[in-house]
Amino acid sequence: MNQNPLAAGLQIAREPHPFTIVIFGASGDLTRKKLIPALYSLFLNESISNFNIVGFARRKWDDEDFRKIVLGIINNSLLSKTNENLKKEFLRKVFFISSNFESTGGYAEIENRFQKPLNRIYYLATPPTAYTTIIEKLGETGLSKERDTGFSRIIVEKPFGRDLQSAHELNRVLSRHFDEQQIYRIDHYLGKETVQNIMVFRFGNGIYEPVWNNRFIDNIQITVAETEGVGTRGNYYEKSGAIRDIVQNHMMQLLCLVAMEPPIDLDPDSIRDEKVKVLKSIKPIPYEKLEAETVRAQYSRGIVDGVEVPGYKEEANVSEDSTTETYVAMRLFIDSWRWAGIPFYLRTGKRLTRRLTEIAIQFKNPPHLLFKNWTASSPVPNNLIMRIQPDEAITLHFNSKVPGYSTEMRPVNMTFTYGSTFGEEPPEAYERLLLDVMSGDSTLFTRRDEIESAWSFITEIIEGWKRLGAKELHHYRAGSSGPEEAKLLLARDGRRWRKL
Amino acid sequence: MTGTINPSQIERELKITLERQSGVESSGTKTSLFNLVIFKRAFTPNPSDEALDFLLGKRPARIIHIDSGYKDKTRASVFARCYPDRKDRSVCFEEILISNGEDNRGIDPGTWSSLLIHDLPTYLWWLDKLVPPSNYLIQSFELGDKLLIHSSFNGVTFSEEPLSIYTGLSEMISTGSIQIPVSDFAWGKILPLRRFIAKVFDRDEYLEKLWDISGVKVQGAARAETTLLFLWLATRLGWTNGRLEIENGTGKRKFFFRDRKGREINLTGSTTAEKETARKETRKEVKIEISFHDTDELLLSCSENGCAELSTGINNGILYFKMPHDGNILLREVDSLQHDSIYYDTIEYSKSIRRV
Repeated sequence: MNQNPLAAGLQIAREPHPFTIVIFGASGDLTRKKLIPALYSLFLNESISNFNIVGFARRKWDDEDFRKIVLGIINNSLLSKTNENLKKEFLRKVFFISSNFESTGGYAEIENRFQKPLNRIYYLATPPTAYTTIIEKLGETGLSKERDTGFSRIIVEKPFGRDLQSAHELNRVLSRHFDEQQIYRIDHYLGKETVQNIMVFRFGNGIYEPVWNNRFIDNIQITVAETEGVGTRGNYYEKSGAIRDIVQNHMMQLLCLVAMEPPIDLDPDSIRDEKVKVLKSIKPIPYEKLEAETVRAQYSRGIVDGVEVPGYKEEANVSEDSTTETYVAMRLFIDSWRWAGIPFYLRTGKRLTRRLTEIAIQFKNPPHLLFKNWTASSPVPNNLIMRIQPDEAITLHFNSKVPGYSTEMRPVNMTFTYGSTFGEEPPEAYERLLLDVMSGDSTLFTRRDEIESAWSFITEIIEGWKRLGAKELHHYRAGSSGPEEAKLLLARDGRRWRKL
Repeated sequence: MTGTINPSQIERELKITLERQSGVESSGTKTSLFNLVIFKRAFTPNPSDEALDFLLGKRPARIIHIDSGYKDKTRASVFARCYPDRKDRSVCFEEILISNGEDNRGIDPGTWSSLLIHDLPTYLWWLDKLVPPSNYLIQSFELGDKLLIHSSFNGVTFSEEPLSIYTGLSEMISTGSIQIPVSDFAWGKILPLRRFIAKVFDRDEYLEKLWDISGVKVQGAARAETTLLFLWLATRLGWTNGRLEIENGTGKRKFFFRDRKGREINLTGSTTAEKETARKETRKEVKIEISFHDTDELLLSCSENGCAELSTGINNGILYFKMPHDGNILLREVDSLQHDSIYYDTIEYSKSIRRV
């Protein structure tokens, strides 16, 4: 009898085992803004209780110094007003190792000081240039090895490579020391409640899947618009641009979730298999078609939220003759039975008029326009909008008769908003994702072939842009909806972007 | 206080009360997610107040309290409670208190059905006697989407024998008298115990011992919870020939079963602190002692701090699966319209227990 009959109907696997999390780059922004608040929140809501947090960085700090830093982070966060005793209890679990990433001594200290619990999570919160060194050192010192009584998991932050070749190389280094099931490539978008809800919405309801195909859908628009500029991230952004920063990861993930076939079950690999199929089915955009199918642009000086803001080239740590794109729009097609002939329009940009992340599914008009004489213009097509941020919501636009004696028809909205429905705020994306790593659930993390398939599509575009040079870089005013050329991308298909 | 129950007037009063409670500073009020109808006895302590305090701010809802036991005519009053979320939107309870008088008009579904928000799930929380089921309870099934009961509360407050509750309930489910899902707070309370026991036996070295259990002693849990725990073990492990012996005078309860090899298994539950444990939201500690035919016993403990294995020291100091209070359970229940099929199996098994 190998099955435990008592486990029937009980979810036991979600309880994290005791663990030590080592944060490489513990003095950085990610640790301060996301990781420490997320870990403290998990501790407060009792999701974790038996753990060590080990900061690993070059700074000449000791445990006490780091605890003061962590306390400062907590006191500056939304959780600052929590019980002082709880803060003290949390801080007792915080430690620091002062070391270069290249020095074996620091890694030996992990082994010596934190023998219990044996379960270890390594978080690469460093600049990507340090990834290879850390991974190699974890391998050399044996810390990457899973032991009989403990797991060893590694979390790799984005950007995961700069192109297909570098992503492939990083995967190669990782796989030399870690098995695929030990590797968690994080894309925090997947931790957002509304992103997870896309699958529930599609596959947990009976009415949407029958119309989720090219017979009923006219086009799909995915928008990730930001009002912020590059701020202090000029150095990083110059090397990245919008296509690497947003399109390759976040937008490709949203595309996968909206276009994938139903997985056979909720096993992480079943879901990721379906996502990989989508990525592999995206029709490549060859060099000859780049100018017609993509738009890249950069913001110039303008006004955002009533404040005058500088152009991209005037930002700190940005070259005066930079050709880095801060805006990308593209039209792509998925070569599959379900999506044949349906355009997917993607756009993302910084310093746009409004912060908005949404997926808009525009349905075809009815085959026979019975009410065509009722309105001066054509009826507005039905739209299903999944708004990821801000104010997470799902809205269905449909047409309704205007009350009265007249024969008028107008679009109306039916909206479900998370904020005005459930009382509780959804957990922060990092909380959910960290808890998943602790519990060994890789569903919301990106698999090797997923990353490489996404890069394969994106790298061809990047290479093509390089050949085209600066001539194809357009400009848009900060605070606008993007460059005119992006509008033309849809106008020639007789369509328009949704209003930002 | 509204003398007669006039739905339009109640709606008007609720609207005014809600506006006042949510306040002018609020950035809006969240729409109710469900109706919750609580049937209870007036002047009798019950677990709904503390559970609702916990739920406040987490789920907006319309709550109808039907308090029985008033001498006068049935009357109704309205009130609202709100709690701001992080974005200053009010998460409110719109509450209607029906004081059910001797005319029993308040508990009649014809009175309160028009006060439900149409098209929202309706949870019926029955905190009155369960055996035999009241006609009002049976009539209310048509208006509800899920029935919530609290068998440990019933065991203490109304001295109802848990086994009778489960047998009656199971009979009603199997004959189709109840066609909506049923959930029991006592079942929710023992969830951490079940998870912890299951987890302990999930280890290879313990899995085989499951078939060698000779006895289980539970200390500190309410009678209904102990009964459910024993019935659960019996159904999952295929124990047969169940019988319950209740000692005259002490009321001490002992369950006996036979395992697959025909050996006797002896299960006892301490009821010393029962009154306290059933009424208090979080009990201090529940201890479970599992003995085996051939080997040492296993001592497990669960409290508000979590569960730990005390005997072997293997998981000593590792605390997980914290004991939930009624608020935790209520929150979980109103987020689901399903029943737990393991619970149904467990109470179904109660029909086969002989009482000696």
